Amino acid sequence: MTAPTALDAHGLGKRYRSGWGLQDCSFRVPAGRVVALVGPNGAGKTTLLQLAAGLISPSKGTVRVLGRRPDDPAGKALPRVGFLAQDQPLYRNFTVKDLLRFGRHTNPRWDDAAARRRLDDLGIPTSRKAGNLSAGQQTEVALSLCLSKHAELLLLDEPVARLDPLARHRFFSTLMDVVVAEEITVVLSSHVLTDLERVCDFVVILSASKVQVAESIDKLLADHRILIGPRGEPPWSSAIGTVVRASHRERQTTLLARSPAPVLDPRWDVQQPSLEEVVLAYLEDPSIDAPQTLEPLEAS
Amino acid sequence: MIWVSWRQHRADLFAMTAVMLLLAIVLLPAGVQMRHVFTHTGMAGCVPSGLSSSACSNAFDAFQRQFNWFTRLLGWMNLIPGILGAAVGAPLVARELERGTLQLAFMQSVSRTRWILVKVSLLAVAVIAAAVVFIALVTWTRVPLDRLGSRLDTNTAFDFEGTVGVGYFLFAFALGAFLGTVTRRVVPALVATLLVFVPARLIVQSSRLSFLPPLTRTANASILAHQKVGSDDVLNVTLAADPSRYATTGERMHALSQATLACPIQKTPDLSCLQAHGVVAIETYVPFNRFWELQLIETAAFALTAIGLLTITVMIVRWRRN
Repeated sequence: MTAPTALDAHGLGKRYRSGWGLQDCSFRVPAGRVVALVGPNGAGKTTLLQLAAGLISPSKGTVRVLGRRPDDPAGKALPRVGFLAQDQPLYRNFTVKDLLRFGRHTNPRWDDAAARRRLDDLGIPTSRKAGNLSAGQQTEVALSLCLSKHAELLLLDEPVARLDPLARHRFFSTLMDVVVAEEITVVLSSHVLTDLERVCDFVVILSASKVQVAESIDKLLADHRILIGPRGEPPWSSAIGTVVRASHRERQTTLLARSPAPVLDPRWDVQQPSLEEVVLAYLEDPSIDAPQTLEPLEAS
Repeated sequence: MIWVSWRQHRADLFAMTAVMLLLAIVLLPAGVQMRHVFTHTGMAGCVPSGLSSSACSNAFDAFQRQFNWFTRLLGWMNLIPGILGAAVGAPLVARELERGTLQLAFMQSVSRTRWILVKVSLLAVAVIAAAVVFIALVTWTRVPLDRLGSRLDTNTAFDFEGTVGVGYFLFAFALGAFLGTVTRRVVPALVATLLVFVPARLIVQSSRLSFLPPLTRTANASILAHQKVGSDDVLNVTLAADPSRYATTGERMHALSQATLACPIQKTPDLSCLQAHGVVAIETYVPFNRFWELQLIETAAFALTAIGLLTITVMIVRWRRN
């Protein structure tokens, strides 16, 4: 059983005048996942999301969303893809009511009732101009526009960067309600992993314009182990897999290893790493590529 | 989508309406006053017979002095189509690029082509409407002036009457939209639009009478009488010896130099003096009935350029994804 593919990149690259914004990027995201797209600032997260949204076209390779080219000039993919840009632009001189009407007029599957309910719940005055709302409220309105479109794939670029902790919590619970109710795929980017850890079940790690890891969080955690043992004395069992990170103290070595064989040597202690530990280990060394065929998928 | 464009650009439409109202406030009283002076100083009676009498000549000069401000104002008003068109056109795409709202617009379910076409069409219609109001206002105000001078006059008459105004408005709008889309910045696009619009207008203005070859004729008394108040646009007057009276080149040269010495040069050639020397005045002129022909040529030139620029703008918006 394999789920259909929501997002599929193959050799994807984007070149700007200043250089490559994204390079040789291949991965698949199965439908129905909530994906954390993590990486340091400037790693290419926004480029990847804009490519998936069809706002920009690839210089190399291909990207498909829900089986279609997102940059098709006829805009056939548009009703099914929602995109929240990083600075969450709104027409500042539109009232919130005008913005809802804007959404209604430009989207065939617009859910006006849900949009109004959501904004009412948040206590956002619909007669106020968008430019006069607080940053947090603007984000909520932008997210509401994005959600009410009834898209099957949501691409959210740093959606919580401007929100305070309480608003973040509310944002994620709103998002999860929609995800559960409508079985959509969501890609959320952030340079702070802890923002996303609670809600995501799939992770794409991007650093220095390349994809290092793209797989489900369960699988990622199952594949990685922390091994702690005496320095200079590898465990008896021969294979310790790929060492993602090694750190040494005076007499002790700590390894983060991918797919190690079971360690029988009693001098070595084996621990389960947290997601954050795994992600940070990869981000620390952009040269380490994880194989990207870990989760077999059929082309949909 | 039409509602969206309207909501987005209604401020532009209100601003254009306000400018037209302001113009009406300035122009309509001037028009009423000019008509009043025109009928009450007896100038209306002078027009058919020309300026032969000194009373008519004085009335004409007084009129010109009184309304000199209006003629000067008209000269500056040539900038209005450029400024208004650029102000509406330049921000069309550039402002959305500057504020990032293009990302919001392009991620709704409407294709880019439809989105830009609706915006461009709505604003083009508004700009044409503004042009029509502008032309109507100035033409109405200029009615007395039209009876005193040629409608072909550059800068004050030809550029405000007929249809060319529609071409100017559309051209400035299209140029603004195009440059805004290319530069992605509102203010540089505005400046660049005016820097292209003004020279383009001046070049066409100075060459428009040669779009069609001018005619020549031998001046006679009745033509000269109407010259100041008449409608033809005389480009220049040359003197020529009558070939039926002088057979050789030498004789003709002699007659010409005699005539030039004998007949003092005034505003208009002294025909009877010239005739006595066997010399005629030959005018090169553009007949007044070419007004519409020239209007249509110039309107088409500006409007077609505008359509070309708008087409390129739509194409860029449709295809640019970088």
